[in-house]
Amino acid sequence: MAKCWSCGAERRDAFFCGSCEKIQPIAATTTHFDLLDIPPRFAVPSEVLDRAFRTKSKRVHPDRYGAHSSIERRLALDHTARINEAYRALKTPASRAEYLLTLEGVDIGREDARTQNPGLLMALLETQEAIEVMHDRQALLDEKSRIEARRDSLLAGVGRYFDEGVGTRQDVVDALTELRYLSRILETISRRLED
Amino acid sequence: MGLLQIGGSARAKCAGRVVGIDLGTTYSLVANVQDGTPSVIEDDAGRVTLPSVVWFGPDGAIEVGYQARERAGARAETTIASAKRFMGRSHAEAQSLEELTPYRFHGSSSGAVVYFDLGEGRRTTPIEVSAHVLIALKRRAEAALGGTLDGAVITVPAYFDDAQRQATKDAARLAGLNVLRLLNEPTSAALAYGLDKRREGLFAVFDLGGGTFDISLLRLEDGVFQVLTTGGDARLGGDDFDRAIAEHFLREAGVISPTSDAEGVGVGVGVDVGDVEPALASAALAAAREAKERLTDAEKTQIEIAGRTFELTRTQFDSLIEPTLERVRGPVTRVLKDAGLEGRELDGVVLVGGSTRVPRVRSFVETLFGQKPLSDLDPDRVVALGAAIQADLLAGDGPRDDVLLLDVLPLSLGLEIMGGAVEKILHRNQAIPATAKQEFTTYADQQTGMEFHVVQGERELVSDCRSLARFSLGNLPPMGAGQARVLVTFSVDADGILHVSAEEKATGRTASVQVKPSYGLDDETVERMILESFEHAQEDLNQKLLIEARTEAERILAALKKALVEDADLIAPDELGAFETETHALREAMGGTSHRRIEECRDRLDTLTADFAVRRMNRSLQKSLEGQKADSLL
Repeated sequence: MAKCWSCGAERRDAFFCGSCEKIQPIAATTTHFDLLDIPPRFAVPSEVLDRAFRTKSKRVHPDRYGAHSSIERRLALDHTARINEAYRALKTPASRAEYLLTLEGVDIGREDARTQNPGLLMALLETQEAIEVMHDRQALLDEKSRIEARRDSLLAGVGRYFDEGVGTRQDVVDALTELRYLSRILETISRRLED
Repeated sequence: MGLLQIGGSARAKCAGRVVGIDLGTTYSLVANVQDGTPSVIEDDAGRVTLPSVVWFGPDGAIEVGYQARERAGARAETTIASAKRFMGRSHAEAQSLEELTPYRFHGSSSGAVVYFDLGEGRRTTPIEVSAHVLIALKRRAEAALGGTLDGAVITVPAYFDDAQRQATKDAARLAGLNVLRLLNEPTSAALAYGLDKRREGLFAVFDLGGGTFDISLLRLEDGVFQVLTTGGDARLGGDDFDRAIAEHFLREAGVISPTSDAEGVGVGVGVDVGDVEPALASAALAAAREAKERLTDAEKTQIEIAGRTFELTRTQFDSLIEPTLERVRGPVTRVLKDAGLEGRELDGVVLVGGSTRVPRVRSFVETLFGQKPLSDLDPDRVVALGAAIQADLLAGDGPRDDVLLLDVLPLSLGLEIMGGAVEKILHRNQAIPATAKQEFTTYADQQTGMEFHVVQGERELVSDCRSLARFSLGNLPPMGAGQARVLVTFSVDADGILHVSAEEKATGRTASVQVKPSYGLDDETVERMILESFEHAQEDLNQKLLIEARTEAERILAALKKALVEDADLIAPDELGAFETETHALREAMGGTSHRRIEECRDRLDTLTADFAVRRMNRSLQKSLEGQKADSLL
C-alpha cells in the first residue's frame, strides 16, 4: 500500500493513513467494491449496500472537512463523489453486473462490446413495435409480466456466472445486452400505461 | 480540472455566529442554534417572519418587510413581492408567466436577465430585491447575536435549477453574506423534524410555500438523512391560490372581461388579466391573501375587491383552488414511482410551508398518500430551523457531529449531441457531490474546435430542456475525424451547482474551461453591482453583449458555410440567392456596434435557413437509421 501524502507512513486502507489518520488520495486500482468495503459479488442485499454507503459517507463527506486544510477538503470531495458513483453503479442488479463485467475487461457501455446477434435484435425490435401500437391495458400488463419474468431469469443466470462460476462470459454479454433492451421496453410500457 | 477546483465551495472553519436563512417567496426567516437548540430570531416587534417585499421609493429610499408591504398601495409597481419566482429567469420566461402581476418587466439587452421597471428610468433585478431581504435578515441576526455574522446556510427549493441557485448565491454575495451552503428546503425541514423527534424510517416532505412546490422522499437512519428522490414545480404555490381568488372576484366585479374562461383560474386566463391596473391588482391580491388566511379557521369571510364586497365560503374557496392543487399530483406520483413506493408504506408525511395550513391542502395530501400528515412543527418555521441546524453542523462546533445530510441532484444534466438530442451525463436523483466523465470526439477531418451546449432536464430533445451554458474548446491539433479524444467532466458540488470542463487528450495537449450559466449573473457583473451600489455600467454591458453577438453570428455563418458545401444538392436554386443576401446583411451588422441589429439579422437568417436545416436533419437521420436500425430504435 502507498505512503501517506502527509506524514509518509504506511496507509491503513483505501481511505486513511494508519499513522496520522489523514484522508488519502484514491488509488487508480480502487474498485467500487473497495470503496464501499463490500465483497465483489453479484449478490449484494440492498440493506448491506445502503448501510455501507451511509457508513462510508459519514467518514468522508465534505461537510466533515470544513475545518481541515484545502488539500484534505479536496480529497473529501473526491472521495464522496467516487462513493456516490459507486453507490449508483452497484444499486441495481443489472448495473452491478455490468460493473463486474468491466472488472473482467468488458465494457458493455460501449456499443462494440455488446452482442451483435441479428436474431435477438430483430425479436426485440418487434416487441418494441408491438408495444407502441398496443392499446389494451390488460395486454400491456401481460406483456410487462412476461418481460419482467424474462429479466429475472436472465439476472439469475448472470448471478450464477459471477458468484458460482457457472456459464461463459459470452452468455453474460448476451444477457446484459438483452437486459439493456428489456429495460428500455419496460420504460416504454410504463409510459404507455401512464397515458 | 473542474473536478478539483473546489474554490467557490471551499469552506474554511467558521466558528462563532452562523445562521440559517429561509429565503421564502412570501416570507423569510432567520434562525440560529444556541446551546444545542434551534430557534427563530425575532425582530424588534417580536415578529419571526419578514415579508419578502421591497419598496423602492423616490430618491432611492428603500423599505423592506412589513413597512414595504404597507406602502404597496401607494406605489404598487415599485413594491416588489415574490421576487423569488423570477430568480434566475430570463425576460421571456418572466413574461410568459402571463399572470396577474402588478409589475412591468424589461429585459437586459440580451434578454438573459429580467428587470422590474420601477418607473422614472429606474429598474432592479430579482437578485437585488432578494439581496435587500437578506440584508434585513442579516441586520436582525447581527443585532440579536451581538456581532458580525461569520456564515449562513440559505435554503432553496429542491427543484431550483442551476440558474436559480446561482442567482440565490449572487444575492447573498450582494448582501455581504458568506454562504456556507445552499440547502434544499425539504431536506432542511426533515433535518429539523428528524432531529427534534428522533424518528427513523421513510418520510415524505410535502412543501407547498408561497411560490414553489417541492416533494422529497427521505430515509432517516443511523444519523444519516438520505434524500432518495425529489421533484416538484418551481412555479406553484399559495400565491396561485391568491391569484385564483383575486381573478375570480375581479371578474365578478367586471374589471376583467367575463368572456375570458370563467373557470380558468390561475393559469392561462388570457390577456385581460395583465391589463389590470397595478394598484388594483396589488390590492386585490392582498385582499385575497388575507381572506385565504381567515378561511383557515373560519367557514366564510368577506372580501373587498375593486370597491365591492363579496362573501367567500370555504367550499367556494376550495373549488377555486382545486385546479391549482391538482397540479401537485403529477410530481407526487412520480417521486413515489421513482422510489418504488406506495404512499401508505411511508412512516410519515411532513408538511412544510404556509400553504399547508389550508384545510383543503391537508385533506388533499391525506388522500394522495393514504395517511394523515404530520404537522407537530410550525410549517412556517421548520425550514429555517433546519437551516440553522445545518449551519451549526457545518461550523463544526455543534454537539451533533454524528449527523449527516446526503442530498440528490434534482434534474439531469447533459450535453447536446448531433441532431439536437441530449446525452445525459449526470442523472436526476443521483447523490451529490457527483462527478461523471464522458469522452467525445470530432466528426470532421481537420476539425480544430468543438462546441458544447450544456442543458438541464429530463426530456430527450435539447429544445425541451433548459439551456444552461455554451462553450467551445478551440486550438485542437488538426486530426482526422474521430481521432481527437475530448474528455468532458461534469461535477456538481454540495450546493447543487455545476462545473463543466473539457480536455483534449489524444496528443497530450490539454485545455479546460469553466462554464457559467447563461442566465444568472457572472462574477464580473456581481462585483460591479457591489462597487457601483447596484448601478449598472451600461456601456460595459453593451460592449460585452456586442462581443457575444458577434461570436454567435460568426459561429452560425461558419456552420452555414459548411452545410452549404456538404449538402449543396438539398438547396433550391432560388434559396441560395436569399441566403447570400441575408448572410451579407449579417456580415454588415457584425461590422457595426449594435448587438441588437446583429441579433435581428441572425434571427432572420435562422428563419430563412430553417427549411434547409430540416432537410439536412432528415438526411442525417436517414443515414444513421440505415446504419444500425435495430440499435438506434431500441
